[in-house]
Amino acid sequence: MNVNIGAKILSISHALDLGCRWVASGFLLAMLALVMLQVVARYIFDSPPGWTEEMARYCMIWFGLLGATISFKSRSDLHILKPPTTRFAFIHRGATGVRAVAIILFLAPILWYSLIGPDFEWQRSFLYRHSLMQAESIEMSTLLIAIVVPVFITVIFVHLLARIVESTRPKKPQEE
Amino acid sequence: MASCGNQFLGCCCSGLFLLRSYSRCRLPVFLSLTVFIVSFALLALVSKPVFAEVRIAMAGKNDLERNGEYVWVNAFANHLNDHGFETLIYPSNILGREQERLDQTALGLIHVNLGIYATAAKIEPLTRGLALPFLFDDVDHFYRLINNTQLVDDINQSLNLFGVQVVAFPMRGGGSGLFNTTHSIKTLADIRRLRLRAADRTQLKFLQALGSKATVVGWAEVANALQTNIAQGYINPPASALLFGHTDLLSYYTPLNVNFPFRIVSLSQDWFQRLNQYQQQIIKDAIKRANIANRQWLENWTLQAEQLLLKEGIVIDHISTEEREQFKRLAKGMWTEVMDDSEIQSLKQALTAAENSTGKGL
Repeated sequence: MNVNIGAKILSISHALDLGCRWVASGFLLAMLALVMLQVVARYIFDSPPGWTEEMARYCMIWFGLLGATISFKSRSDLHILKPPTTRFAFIHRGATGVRAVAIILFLAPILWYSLIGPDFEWQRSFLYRHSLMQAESIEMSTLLIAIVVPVFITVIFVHLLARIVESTRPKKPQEE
Repeated sequence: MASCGNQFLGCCCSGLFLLRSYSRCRLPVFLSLTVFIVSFALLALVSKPVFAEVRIAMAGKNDLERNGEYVWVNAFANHLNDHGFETLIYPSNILGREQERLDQTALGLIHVNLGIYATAAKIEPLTRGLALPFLFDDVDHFYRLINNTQLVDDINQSLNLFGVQVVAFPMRGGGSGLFNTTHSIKTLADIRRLRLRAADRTQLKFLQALGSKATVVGWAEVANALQTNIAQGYINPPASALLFGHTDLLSYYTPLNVNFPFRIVSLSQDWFQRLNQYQQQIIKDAIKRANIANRQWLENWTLQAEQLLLKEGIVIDHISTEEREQFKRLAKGMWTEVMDDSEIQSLKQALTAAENSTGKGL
């Protein structure tokens, strides 16, 4: 049963990572296209549209935060300390535990205030406040941008869970 | 009350330390000391009632001579300091840029924020109406609309949901005009030869309506844009060029009174509602005092702003009334491009009510 749950967590984490790679790539390309459009319209046609800069910024937010989940999953995010190389499993598990606590302490409050808000009032949450706001240059709710914050935190939590599952699994002989 | 509590706690802690040292003394000495310490703590508590620490944030610099928003903040803070509050002023976007500061105000982390209209307009588009080009004849007209109509209440209906309350609209430096680097502006045709920096969609549409080329450039990049000829000028009140040191780059200024740039002062709803009635009244009085200080500064500033520009070597050109009417006619054509018909109607109704009202509206 436990093995099944672990395998499911791992497969969900892999699927989310794949989805994030596609979506982040899409936003990266969109950002490049918008910046190019702005440059061409500004310097060649002398008539830049007013919305490209803001839209490019929103694309950057989406691709940047989804990119953070990808780097976390692929372990290419910034490491300040590296656990010592040792055959003792408890050291690796301890390091995973410390990392998990640090990540939860950093991201859980952001997730909380994104969804719930102070004094347990969801009307004061980050997402609700953005549901009241429109983008500056086009008619679009900024909720579509703000929603990436809880999305990226949730994905990182799933990856974290997958990492914990991986650390509790016995290593295959060829990995040692 | 936090500072109050801190004072009391500090005295009690010092007292406990002394009591511990003297605990071996006889009972009367012990009792006398206890009475002394408690009296001292109570005295500290009542001698200068400190209600709360008020955090005030703004984008501009601490410049009483040239920055209208700081004039407002300074008068507001002085009134609060005189009446038992402690104020902390955070200038120059120290606590974050416009959107971040408004978010922090909604959460009660910042108590009073001075922000641009464009951020508030994301929540309530009616706010954008206050910056429409050629909507107001002069500053008094602006304040008649603000203070003698229901417009601010309508704006607050949306902003209250967000967690903030708009309470004042201090002026940044009078009517805005056109700065540029290349030539004198006396007619519409002169503007059409320029590529100008637009601050937002409203300015972009306005400049395009005039027939000029326009490009959106963030304020932080304006100096660079002027140097590299990406933009050859911008629309702002005289204070902007003086405050941000653009007078070395710009050569010409044409007063147009396109609009009357202002800051929106918003209070944190959480913070304000937690104050008692007496404290709320002090805040309201401080707002009135700050509004008066800002208007007085504006009157003096308007007289000397052009002189300061001349001193900096800027050539000032004035346009004729007929020419200004042409600007106005073209500007009115773009209003519907940045606001809905229903919003324009609400604004027009408020304007009619303001026209019928008298006085300076302060």
